[in-house]
This record gives sequence, C-alpha cells and structure tokens, in this order.
Amino acid sequence: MHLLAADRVRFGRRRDLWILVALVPVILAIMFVSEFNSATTPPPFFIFMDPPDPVAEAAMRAQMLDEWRLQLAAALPAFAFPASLIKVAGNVGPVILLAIYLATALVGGEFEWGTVRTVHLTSSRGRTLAVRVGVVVGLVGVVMGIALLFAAILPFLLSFEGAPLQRFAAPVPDFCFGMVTRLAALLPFIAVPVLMAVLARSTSFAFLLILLFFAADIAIAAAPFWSVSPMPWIPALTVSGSISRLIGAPDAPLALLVPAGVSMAALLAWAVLPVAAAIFRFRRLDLNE
Amino acid sequence: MTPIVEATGLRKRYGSVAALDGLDLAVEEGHVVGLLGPNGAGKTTALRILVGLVDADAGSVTIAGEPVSLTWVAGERVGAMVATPVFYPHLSGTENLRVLAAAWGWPRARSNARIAAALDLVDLAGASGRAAKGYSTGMRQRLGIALALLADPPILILDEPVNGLDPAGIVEIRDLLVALAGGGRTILISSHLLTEVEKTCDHVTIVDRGRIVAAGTPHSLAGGGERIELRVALDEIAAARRVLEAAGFRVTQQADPVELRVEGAPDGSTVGRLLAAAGCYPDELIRRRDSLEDVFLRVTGAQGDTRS
Repeated sequence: MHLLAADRVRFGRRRDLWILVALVPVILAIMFVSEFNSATTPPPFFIFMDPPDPVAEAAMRAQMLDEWRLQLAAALPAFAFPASLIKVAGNVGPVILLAIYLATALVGGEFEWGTVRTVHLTSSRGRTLAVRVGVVVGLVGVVMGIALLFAAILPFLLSFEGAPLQRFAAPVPDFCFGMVTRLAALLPFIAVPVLMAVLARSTSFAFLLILLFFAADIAIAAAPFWSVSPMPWIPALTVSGSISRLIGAPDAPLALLVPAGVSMAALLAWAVLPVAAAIFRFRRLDLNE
Repeated sequence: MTPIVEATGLRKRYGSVAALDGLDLAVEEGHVVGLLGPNGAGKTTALRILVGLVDADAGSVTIAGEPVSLTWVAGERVGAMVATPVFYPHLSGTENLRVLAAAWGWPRARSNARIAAALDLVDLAGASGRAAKGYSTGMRQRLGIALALLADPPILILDEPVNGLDPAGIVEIRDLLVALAGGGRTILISSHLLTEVEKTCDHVTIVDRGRIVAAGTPHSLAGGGERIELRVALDEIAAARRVLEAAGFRVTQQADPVELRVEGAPDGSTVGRLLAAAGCYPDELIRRRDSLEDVFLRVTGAQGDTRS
C-alpha cells in the first residue's frame, strides 16, 4: 500500500498520462459510434440501365435496399448491449498503444531520470516493480472500464431508422469467455514493454525493442510455412497468434488445430513470464544510472 | 570500536578497466570520513557498492552489521546521494520528498514536519513548491542532500555534496555537515575538493586507481614534511647553507624560486639566529608543512592528471 501511495505521488502530476487515460475511452466511444454510423448508412447503389427505365431501376434499388437491411439485421445486434461490450473490448488498438506507452514510460522513465537509484534506496526493487506493473494494469483497467461504460450506455442512445438500437439486442453466446479473452489479450502488451524497459534501461530504446518484438511475433504467427511444417500449432503460441486464435472465427485453420485452452495458456504466459523475468533482472541490475 | 560501515577487498571491473582493486574502507560510528581521489579513482563506484546500487566482483560490505547486496534496502537508516542528485523533474521539491515519505508509510503529520525540516536545512524552503526541473544546479544539489536527510538517518553517504554550489552555498553545506556530524551521525563524503574535506572531515581516505593509498586524520596526513623555507640573497646562499648544515639540519636548494628548504630545525627562530650569527639575513623565512593537497598530489601522482 505504501508503494502504491508513493506511485500516486510520483505520477499524480504526470499530465501526459492523465490526458491519455481520459482520451482513449473517448476515442473508443467515437470509434464505436462511427462504426455504427457507417454500418447503418445505406451504401450508394449505382444502377445503369440503357435505355433508362425508372420503374425497373426503382424496383432494383428497393430490392438492393432490402438485401442490405437483411445483412444489417444480422450485424446490428453486435452494436446493441451487451454485445456492444464485446465490440468495444475487441477494438483495442488505442488501448494497446496506451498500455505500451504507460508500461514503457513508468518503468523506463525511472532509468532515464536516474530515479531508479532512489527506488533502490527506498524500498525493495522487486516489490516496487511489481507494484508499478500493478499501477499500469490498474490504469489500463480504468481506461477499459470507462470505455465499457460508454459501450453499455451508447446502445441505448442510438437508433436505426427510428427504432431504438436495443430492439435488435440478442444474447451473446460465451459472453464471459469473450470478455475475459479480450481483456486478457491486453496483458502481454503491458508485460512485454515492462521487460523491454528493464532490459533497455530507457524509454526510447525500449520502444524500439518493443516494436521489433511485436514485428517478429507477427511475422512468426503469419509465416506461411507453419501449415506445412510438423509444428503447425506454433503460431498459436505467439502473442498475436494466440489472440487471433481466441477471438477469431471458430472455423479458422488455427482454431481447428489448437484447443482454446492452449492459446489461453500461451496468452497468460505472455502476460506473466515477461513480468517475472523483468523483476528477476531488475533485482540483479547494477544501477550505474 | 567496530566500524559501522565496512568494506573489505572490494573489486569491480568495467570491461578492461579496474574501477576498484581491493579497496578496504572502515568508517567508525560518529566519524566524518572524507573519501578523496582524482577523477576515475573509484570513489563513486565504491559508494555505489556501499549502498547496494552496484554489485562488487569480489569483497564484502556491511553497514551496521548487515551485509549489503543488490537486494539490501537502505531505507530510513542510510541517507545517500550517490553521483548526481536525482529527482522526478515534473514534481516539486516537496513532492519529490513526499515520494520517499509515502514509500516509507509515514503518517501525513510526520511527512510534513520532516519534509519542511529537510528543505529548511538545505535552504530550499522558498522554492519547495516549484517543479524540480526548473531548479538550478545548486538547487538540485541541495534537493539531493534534502532527500538524503529526509529520514534524519544515523548514516549519511554523500558523493560530492558541494558540487555546483556557489561559495556561499559551499559554506552553508559545510556548516550543515559539521552540525550533522556534531549530532553524532556517521558521515562518509566523497569529494575532490581538498579544502572542503579538510574542513569537514575528521578522517581522510585517499583513493587512487581503485585502492587506498593514504588514510588518517587530515592533521596526521598533512602534518608530515615539516620544514623551514627561506630566501636569502644569491651571494649569501652558499654561506647560509654551510651554517645550517653545520648545525645538523638537512638543507636542499630549490631552483625556482631560489630558496633553501631546511628540514630538522626545531623552529624558525633557531634558523634565524644561526643565520644572523653568520651575517646572513634572509628576505623571507616561513615555517611550512605539507598541506592535504601536497599529500594528495604526492600519493596519487595526480598533478596534471586527466584520468576520467
């Protein structure tokens, strides 16, 4: 608790953090609304008839509109509560960027300012880093909490052709698993940057390492040769592969190959092992900063 | 008396460079010890190891009987400022101190009282509300000292505490350290400012190339080499030298300026009387002994040294 109080003093005045924490849920809400608007705006139907036949054209346009409405009817429940929560929790690009920024800034900054020496002299290094990771997880949790609050409220304020959006609400199968998976998918984007910040002992170099790590992760997951190799399940063990296995289509090739539990275990390992490695390394670092 | 800070056989290499090469250090309780040395002598590395920031390749450190390692936490027992002072630039002086107080779980009243006292001690109370990134070099130095003093620790380890301070600031910090030492604290100061160490410390350890090359009280270190230096007219030098050597003193002649250096004479008046009796009247007669600077330069061979 004391270390948490110290971190509150440390970061209470970091305006950049608070601006981001406030901004990201708003961005997620805007993304949700704009996605809804773009889904519910009828596409332009281009019909060319030679010679022009207004009656046939109107009939064709009405038919196309009906088909579009039919497709939309299948898509609209995803915007209604409670599916809206899954949708927002899945649109986490900005949250991932925030998680990387927070983890790198809050851990790497200590090395850059040299205050890592104060940390060492004041309290246990391992405990301090563990609490710091907790602070980042907490901040990301607050951001997701606010975003999910928006996701719970907005469907009640939106409508389609005069009908409240909630009229299209439908139960979501495996709702809890979907939510847990999407939230757990954020953890590696905290854990890996924490490890990189400790290894790099800076923020800028840590960003470079993070970029390289996730580029390599995506490259490994997307490499085409796994499907013809004796180990086609390897992509499911990467960060991006395990996430895509867990939240992707149930009939995707990887989903047919690897049980969800394996990918969930891989995801949790990516959430825990880098932090453990970071604490192990941090406790044994010569602090020459 | 058992040393409260003790380092034995410390060795540390950075690549091919030996920062410490078997350094032994003992600081007894209640003493103010100055760690002197040229740049790159290993002072800061030694202090980093003493507070557990850096692990020694060999050797051991104990503080108040506790073995120090990378997992050892100084906490409220040891106030330390090693290398440059560090702080959170976006926080004010007060908030930087509050980070430590919060980490130690101090109640609000104790935090406020100690923070005010520490800032007051280093004359930073007037700027305590300003963001530390706007502080001058001297103010940063004072904030670093305030951070070390916050818990009112019985042991203080300060690396170049008067770096960047103006002359008035140096006097203030010197007076502060003397006052703190008077309160029974054990203080270890590293510095390359010989006069400051001479005025503040009751024990001096000179480090060079990672080893201790001299240690003792400033008086005992500087007390050696007692001599009389005298200038006489050029045509009287030979006569003066003969008289003094006949009296059993060791006399050497310096070339520039031309002067005689007399060792073994009990005092200046004896030399003066002997010369007057021989009809030699010196222009200048001074009794000298080695300063700490003389000792430092002699034992480190650091004159004009640019090691870093």
